Amino acid sequence: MGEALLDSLSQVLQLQTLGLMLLGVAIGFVVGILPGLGGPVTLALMLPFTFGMEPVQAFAFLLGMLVVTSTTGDITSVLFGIPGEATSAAATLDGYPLTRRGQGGRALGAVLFSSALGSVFGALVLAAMVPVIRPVVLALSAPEFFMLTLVGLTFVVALSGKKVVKGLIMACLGLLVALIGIDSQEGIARYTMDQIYLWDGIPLVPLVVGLFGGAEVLQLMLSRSSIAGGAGAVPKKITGIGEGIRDTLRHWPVVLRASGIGSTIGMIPGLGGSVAQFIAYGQARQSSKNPELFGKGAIDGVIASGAVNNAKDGGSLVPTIAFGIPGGAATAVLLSAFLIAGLDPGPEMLTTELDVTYSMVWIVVLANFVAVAAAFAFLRPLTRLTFISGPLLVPFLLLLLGLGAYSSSNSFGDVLVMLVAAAIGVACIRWDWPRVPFLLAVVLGGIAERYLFVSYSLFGWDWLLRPTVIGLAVVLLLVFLVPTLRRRRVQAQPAPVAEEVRS
Amino acid sequence: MTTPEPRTGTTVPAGTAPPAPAPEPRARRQLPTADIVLSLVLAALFANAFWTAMEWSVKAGLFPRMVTGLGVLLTLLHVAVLLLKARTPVPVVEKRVDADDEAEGDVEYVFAHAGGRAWARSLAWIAAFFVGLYVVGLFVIAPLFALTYLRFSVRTSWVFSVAYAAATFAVLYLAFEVALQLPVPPGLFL
Repeated sequence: MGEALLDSLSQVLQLQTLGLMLLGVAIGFVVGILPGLGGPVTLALMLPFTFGMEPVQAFAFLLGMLVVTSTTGDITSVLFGIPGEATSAAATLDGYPLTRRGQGGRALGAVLFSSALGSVFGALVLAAMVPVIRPVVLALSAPEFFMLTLVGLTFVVALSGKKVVKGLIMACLGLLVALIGIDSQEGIARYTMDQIYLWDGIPLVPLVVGLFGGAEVLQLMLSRSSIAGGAGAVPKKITGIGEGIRDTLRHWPVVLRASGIGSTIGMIPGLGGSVAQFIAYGQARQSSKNPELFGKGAIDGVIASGAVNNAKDGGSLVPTIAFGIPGGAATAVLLSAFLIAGLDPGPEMLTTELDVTYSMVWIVVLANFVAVAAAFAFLRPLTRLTFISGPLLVPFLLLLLGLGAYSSSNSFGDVLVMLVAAAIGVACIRWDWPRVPFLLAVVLGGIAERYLFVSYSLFGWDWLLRPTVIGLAVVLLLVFLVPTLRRRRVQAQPAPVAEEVRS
Repeated sequence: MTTPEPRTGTTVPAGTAPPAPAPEPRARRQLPTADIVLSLVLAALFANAFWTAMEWSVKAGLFPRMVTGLGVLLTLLHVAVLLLKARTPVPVVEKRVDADDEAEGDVEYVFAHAGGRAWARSLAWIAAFFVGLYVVGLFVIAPLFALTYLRFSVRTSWVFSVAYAAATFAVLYLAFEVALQLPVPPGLFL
């Protein structure tokens, strides 16, 4: 393990890889600060630029960008009370009150430093899980992997809230899209509508770019506002950062607990950072000596929010790498990067491609430390990015959409695929249909069918009677039943009226 | 947005038994037309795909039949549930705010509340960009779109719009033609 870790570190520290990571960090930094432009969207837009890169370089660029959005998203949460990312919402609860009391620097010092520590924790969990999970993964065969694919899909659907049936329908639609193309078993053209372009299937990159990027561009065009909306001015002086760092060191148990929660929840597909942050925040409040300060400017609340955010990134990579089951939207897009780089998540990532897996550990840590150092150095000028008017970004983002889609196979058909995917993405948001199960099903569809075919070829229908398959089928049922029962129980209790919450 | 019904503040004369509590105000749910239409369209799509998959051999058609068959069942189930729910009156205050409603809040709100004119204008600009991309290629449409969109839609100054357009062209040309030498959409005339 030690040798593999050092080998992967030397790969990450190569000049070109390091340069790409720094570029990714710079992009992630800006995106994280800009509220409204999320990590998954940027990841999708940048995916086409990884063509031709070595796997470690591609992940240095993409993963470096993704993990930094979690860190810098906290900056706007603390300074303006507007989460830069959905996963930074908890940081507003105590970070913004501290800023209003003139302690913005202290809150930023605490949230950024705890983010860096959280990322180290998450990376350590990822590194430690590899030897633990490897024998499990290697003991599994095609039937188990087929079931795991289904369990991963249902996890994302069932835990996505009240839209379970909609999620399942979108997953079926995604699987249908994944079926388009020449069948690998018998060479039959499936759902190609006599178009030679579709023989190779629907290209993943234009689909991801359109599904996530299209809606964001349209939103900027329709809203025509500054991205920060009604945020106040940048504080004239940001001081007290050192005090925030000392606060973080003093509250090390909070960092450890929040990081533990983050990396554990990160490993469960479908839950993701939005849930983890509030669980960690609630836990910090419960264990605090001053729970009454929470919501009014408790520094331990800020620390918990920072640490949990970044620890979850390392955790969410575990199921993505080991089983090809992403934890959420960002890792679903990242899974597309695996396929583009020619990597198969699963046993390969834990044996022959172990250096790529361990390089991710280093990228998570290095990218976060670079981002935190840059944030401390250029904090005030960078926060001005928040005031860029949204419509000014439209020409640039449209350019990225077109270019990103076209570069998939240098065909205008890819641009059309992107536009159709954008229309699907917009329709999903407009009428409240989940997009992530659709994307996940497109990504996993081909893999699932291959595992099903191999299972049938090797065992006939007897594979259905294997004990692990039955066990996974039970898990699959529980994934649906438990949230449904819980929702019914919650529905029996009085709920807040919409007017009260939104006003 | 929903507004809860105001509570009625009735008084009870002394010496009389208090009246039975008035039944909670209940309202018929609105028919979710968009969801029903989308589900029916998807049901038709899945049914057609299922029918097509029946013509293939078991090896090529097994997984497609499983997926599309399940798709038909789920979409029809969804329509049935929506219709049943629409017939069931619910207390007005029962409307909940779930965490996932808040997650995509901004985008969802903007899409739901942008007027028809704003939609038409935005879609027209997007269509113009991609038609231009197909006809005249990236190196022409990118600066041209930046100039016209910023000047006439965002109403920035001529100087800013021209500078933005020039910078766009310069960055594109230097990055994609000179440095990376990557192919970009060339347009119909090249």
